[in-house]
Amino acid sequence: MPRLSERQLALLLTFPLLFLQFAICIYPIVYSLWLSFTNASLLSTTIEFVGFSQYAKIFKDAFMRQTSLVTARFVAESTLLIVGLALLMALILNQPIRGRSILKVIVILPWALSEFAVAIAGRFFLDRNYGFLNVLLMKLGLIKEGIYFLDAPFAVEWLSLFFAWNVAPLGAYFILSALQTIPMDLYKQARVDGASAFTRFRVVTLPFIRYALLMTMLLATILSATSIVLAFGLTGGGPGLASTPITLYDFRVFFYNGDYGYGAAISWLLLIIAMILATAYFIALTRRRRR
Amino acid sequence: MRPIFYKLVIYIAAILIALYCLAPIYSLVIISLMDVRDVVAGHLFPVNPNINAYLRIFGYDVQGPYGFLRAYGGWRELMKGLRNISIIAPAVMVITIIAAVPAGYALGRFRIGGRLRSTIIMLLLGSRSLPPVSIALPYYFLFTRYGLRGTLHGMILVHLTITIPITTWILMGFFAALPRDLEKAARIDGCSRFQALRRIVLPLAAPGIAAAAVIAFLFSWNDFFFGWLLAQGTPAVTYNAQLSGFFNFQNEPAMFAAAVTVQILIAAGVAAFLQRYITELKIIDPGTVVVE
Repeated sequence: MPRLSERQLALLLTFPLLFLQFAICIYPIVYSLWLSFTNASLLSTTIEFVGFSQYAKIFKDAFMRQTSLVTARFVAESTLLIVGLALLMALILNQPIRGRSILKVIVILPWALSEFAVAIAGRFFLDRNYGFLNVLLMKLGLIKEGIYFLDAPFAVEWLSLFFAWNVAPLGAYFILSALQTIPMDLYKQARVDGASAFTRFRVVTLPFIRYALLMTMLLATILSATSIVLAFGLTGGGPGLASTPITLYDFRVFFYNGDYGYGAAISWLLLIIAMILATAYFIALTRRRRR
Repeated sequence: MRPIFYKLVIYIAAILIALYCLAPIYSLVIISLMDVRDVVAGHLFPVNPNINAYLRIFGYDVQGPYGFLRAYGGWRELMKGLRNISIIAPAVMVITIIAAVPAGYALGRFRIGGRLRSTIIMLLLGSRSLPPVSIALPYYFLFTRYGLRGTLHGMILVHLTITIPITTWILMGFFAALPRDLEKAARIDGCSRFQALRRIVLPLAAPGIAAAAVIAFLFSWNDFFFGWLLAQGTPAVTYNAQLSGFFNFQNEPAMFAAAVTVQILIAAGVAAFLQRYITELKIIDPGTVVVE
C-alpha cells in the first residue's frame, strides 16, 4: 500500500463529510437558487426564467418591510437578553454557593427543550384564562382580570423573552468556562489595591470573558435571525403580522400562497444575511487563535 | 460591600435564576396533571393531581375526578410518531458519529494546508448557520421528486444536514486539544497510524465522542420543523410533528401539556446526562472547544 501524505489522508477521512455536505446541503441550496430566478408557483403551468424580478419584488413588498422590522426587533432584543442573562447566570454559577451543582442542572434544562416545546410551554404560561402568570398575578391581587399578554404591542418582546429562556444557558456555560480560567490571585491583588467590585469586574473579569461574550453575542444573533418555530408555535405570527419574522413570512409565501419562485428568493436573501453573520463569527474565531 | 450582604444578594439572584428557568416547565407539568375543569379554574399548585392525561395520550380510557374520559382520538398516530422518532434519532446519532469522527480527527490533528482547512471550517460554520427555512423549501420539492417524502431514511437524511457539521465542529476542537505526546510515542514504538488512533486517541476522545453523539441525538429528537414539513400526514411522521395535531384541540390543555412533557422528559434526561461532560470538556456549542 502506498504511503499517503498527511494531507491526502486528511482529505480521505474528510471525504464522507464533504460528500454528505455536498449531497444534502449544497445541492438543495443551488436548486433553490435556480427556483428564485423563475416564476415557479402553484398556479403557473410552465416555469419561465424571469431573471432578478423576484428579488426586485422583495423591495416593493410592504409585508416584507413589516416582517423585516419584526425580525430586527426580535434579533436585537433576544441578543441583548441572552448576553445579559448568560453573563448573570455565569457569574452566579461561578460563586462558591451551596447547591451549585443543582443550579447547574436547573440552568441547563431550558436549553434541552426543543423550540416547539418552548413555544408550547410559553403558550400555557401566558394563557389569558388559566396561564400561570395570570393566575399568579391575580392571586397576588395585582390584576383583576386575565391579561392577554401576546397582544400586538408586546408580542415580539414575549418571543424574545422565551427565546432567551431557551438559548441563554448555552451562553452561560460558555462564559462560565471562561470565568473558570481566571486566576484567583488577580482578585486578591485587586482587593489589596482597594478596587471596588465594579472595578474588579471591569479590570480583571472582563478581559478574560470578552471573547466568550463576543461568541455568545454572535451565536445569539445567528440563532435568533434564523429562528422560525418559536414564532410559529407561540404567537403564530399574530396578531396580524405583528410578530411574524421574515422566516415565517417566507414560509407562508412558499406553502400557503404557493409562490415558489418568490419564496425561494426570500430564502436566498435570508441565506446571504446568515452567511454574513457566519463570516463575522468565523473571523472572530480565527483572530483569537492567531493571538 | 459587607460580606453577609454580598452573600445574600448572590443567593437571591441564584434563586431568581432557578425560578426563571423552572417556571414555564413547572406550569406545563402542573397543567398536565390536572383535569380540564381544574385547569381552567386557574391554580398555582395541582388540584386533584392525576396522570389521566398521560394515560389518555397512550390510548387508555380513564375514570377522571369529574367523570369518564375517553382516550385521545389521535393516540395511534401519536404513538406511531414516538416509534418513528425512536428509530430516527438513534440512527441519526450513529451515522453522524461515523461521518464526523474521522473528519474531526483529520481536521483537528493533521497538518493540512491552511487554506484548505479554513475552507472546510467555513463550510461547516456556514451550514451551521443556514436558516432552516432556506433548507426546507428546496427539500420539499426534492423529496417529492425522489420519493423520499414520508420515508424514515428521508427524515434521517434531513437531520444529518444539521448534526454532521455541528458534531464535526465539536470533535475537531476536541481532537486538537488532546495531548499529542502519547500518540507520538506510540508511533515511535511501531504502531501504525490506525493503531495509534484506535488504541491511544479514541479512548482519550471517548467522552468527547459521547457528548457529540448526545448532541446529535438531542437535535434529532427535538426537531419539529423538518418533521412537520416533510413528514406530517405520512407514515414517517415524527412525535414532535404529531403534537401540532393538538393545535385544533384547544379544550384539552391537559393532554397537550402531557404530550409535550413526555417529549421534554426524555430530552431533559439526556441533557442531564450530558451536563457532566459539558463542564468537564467545556463543550456546549461549536466554537467553544476550539477556544480552550
